[in-house]
Amino acid sequence: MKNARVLFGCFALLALCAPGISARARDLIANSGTFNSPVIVTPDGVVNEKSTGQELPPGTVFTDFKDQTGNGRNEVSFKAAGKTHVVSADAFRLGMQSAPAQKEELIPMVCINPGPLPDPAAPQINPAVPTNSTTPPVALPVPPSAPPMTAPATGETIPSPVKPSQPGTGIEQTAIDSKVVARMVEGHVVNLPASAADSVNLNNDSPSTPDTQELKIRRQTLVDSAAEIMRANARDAAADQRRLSQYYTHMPLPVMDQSLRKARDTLSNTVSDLESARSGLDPSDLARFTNIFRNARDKAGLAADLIQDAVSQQNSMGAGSSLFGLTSPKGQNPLARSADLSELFGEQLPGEGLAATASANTQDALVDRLVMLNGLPQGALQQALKSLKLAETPELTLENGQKKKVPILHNGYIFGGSMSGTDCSAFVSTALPPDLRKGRFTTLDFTTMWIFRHSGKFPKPPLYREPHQSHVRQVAGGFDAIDIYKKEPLVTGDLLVFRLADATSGHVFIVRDFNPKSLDARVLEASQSSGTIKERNLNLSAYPATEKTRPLRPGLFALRLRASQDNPVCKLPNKPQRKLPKKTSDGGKS
Amino acid sequence: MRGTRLITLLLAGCTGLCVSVSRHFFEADLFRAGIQSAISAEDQHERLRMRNTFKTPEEVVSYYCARDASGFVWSGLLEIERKAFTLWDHVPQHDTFLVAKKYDIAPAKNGPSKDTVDVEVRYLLTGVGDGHGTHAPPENSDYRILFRLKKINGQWKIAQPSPLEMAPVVLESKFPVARGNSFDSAPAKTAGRSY
Repeated sequence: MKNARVLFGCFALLALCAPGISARARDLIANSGTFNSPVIVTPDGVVNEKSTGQELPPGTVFTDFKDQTGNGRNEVSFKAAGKTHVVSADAFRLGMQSAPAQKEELIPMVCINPGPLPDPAAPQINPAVPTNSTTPPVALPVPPSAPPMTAPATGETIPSPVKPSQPGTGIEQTAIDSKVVARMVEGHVVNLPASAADSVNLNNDSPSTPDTQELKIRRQTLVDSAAEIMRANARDAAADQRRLSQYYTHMPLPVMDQSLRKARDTLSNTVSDLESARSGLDPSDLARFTNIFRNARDKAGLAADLIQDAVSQQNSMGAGSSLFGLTSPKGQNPLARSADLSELFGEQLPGEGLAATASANTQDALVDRLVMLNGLPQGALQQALKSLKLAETPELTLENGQKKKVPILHNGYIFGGSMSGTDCSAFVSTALPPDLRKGRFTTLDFTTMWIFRHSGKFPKPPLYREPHQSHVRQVAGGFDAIDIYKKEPLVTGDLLVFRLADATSGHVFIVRDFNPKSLDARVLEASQSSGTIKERNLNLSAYPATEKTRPLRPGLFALRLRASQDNPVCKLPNKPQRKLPKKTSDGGKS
Repeated sequence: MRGTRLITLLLAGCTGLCVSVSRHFFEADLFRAGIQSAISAEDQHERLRMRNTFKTPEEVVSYYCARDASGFVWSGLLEIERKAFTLWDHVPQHDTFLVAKKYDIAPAKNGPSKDTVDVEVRYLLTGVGDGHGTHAPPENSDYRILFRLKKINGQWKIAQPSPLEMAPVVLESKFPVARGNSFDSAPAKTAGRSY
């Protein structure tokens, strides 16, 4: 049917829905990509590596991916290793692991038309339900900047061929199949027939001109994209954790002893460099990472002392013992080679297991990665650095004028300056986690921006230093200040900042939707680990709904990103390429 | 004669013993002085501990406050510390911090139950700041935290305040980014905003 909205889960949705197992939808949407871990193809479908069948090793390139679920068949097909494989879509998701993300890919997997928001009362999406749409699909124009699709040679790793239509817009088009558009639903990428993407239904929207509708589409895309960036961060951290731990798996204890001592000494030197650095890192990042490196140095030192007992135990078992150097009392963490080391590093490797993705984004996991990296010989260290996703090597200028490159691992972005001109989703993704806010814009900054935009005057106090004050002024120009205390309602995509005067605690939420009658805001916030996204209800009043008068909570500041081309802070997604359907008099879509 | 020899030997022995003991202490003093003179900025920061071997609640609070003073709570307290020294279920997460000139730790007082004690820490605040060096005035320069510790399996651990209530407090002398741009440390009235 023309107006039929048939949401069916493609393999990407299923893959992304499975916690901890998700493929890079961009690659999949672009119908080619690379398996990042062994994938077993069996007659029943692609399952995990525990099954038997033909193994497609990591790095295997797949091409000509076709999602057949839209045609009433719960199948996907792809070419890999010289063969065409047709497998069940359900089983395929089990075998897909996270594809390696490109380091420069900070652009979210977004799409032109986000489509309808999920309605909790609506029937669940059944991937097996075929579409009955007879509407001819609308061809999506291929943006000039999209590179041509070329099939790679077997075994060749290809970068993602899907690029944003404009730098920093965060919009991508599926340039390969005009019949299918990708859209974000609750943070997951779903392939839809083009006709289904015509209809848009956004929460709390008011009837408006098509321009405003499109703006709302952009804001919803912003919300979903920011969430996906944060999830991608967590996946990258987990992948980095795995990569570094591989060097230590089955490492003989005497060798690990040397590695830990090397890590302690190397980190100690790096701490000295950071303490004497005068430029090369933003001052806030410098302060933060100096402490992180101090913790890593101390942890390596503690481990170096503890491993002595483990080595002694091994020696008492005899060098010829078959267990020499391989004893791992428990757990999967390769550093947990004794009870004491398990206590120090944890038994489980951070980031492993379906529910552990978030923990790879913690301070502890970051410190452990620094210990592992700096315990490697120089050649292996340089090689490892190239493969890590969350790593930078800024050049510091020390007090004595010497310039030195220092490898820094992190849990998010290290940027200098104001991040102006960046994609709004990327901007928001650094505003939600408290850990990343320390180096970017804090809740103190956001409240200053609000006051500046609301009153037209830059408040003083607080006292700002340059260049941060200029950054705050500049970024403030990208927002409108919304005064909820004057009953200005929140809309999707607003940043809701909570901060009380003279307090240090603060939160930043991004609004998914808002009910002005009940004052319920559905918001996204970053969890403590800064690697997971929580959706929650936040009522703007602490008073129950039955009260006649319901004062709003104090300390709430709402900032709305201005969707203009000259926004100094970031660019919202591009204007959609298609026209929105006209509403009929009965409220239906024509 | 023999007795005299014996006494002489004993006296010589005692003298030698005294000399060696004095030398030990003298050398120990020199050692300590040497250590202190050799302390670099990096050693002025409280190092990470993985186990709580402190015998008194004041020592636990002292460790926490020393870590806090160097910005380790703001930059991210580690899980191993949280578990060893507190009863919190998560670490504090604040993007800004309080700035102090100094702090004093009072002796522990009995808490509401047998295995709890209260330790008050009094800070002389100079402002509220963040990693960029931004400063806002404190509501009051006299800032006090009442730590409540509980003895669990022979270890004193911080039970209250909760991590949500705990504001990171750094010392100007130990956290360079907090220096400068500070407000007067005299008892401050809440400063109104000026434009």
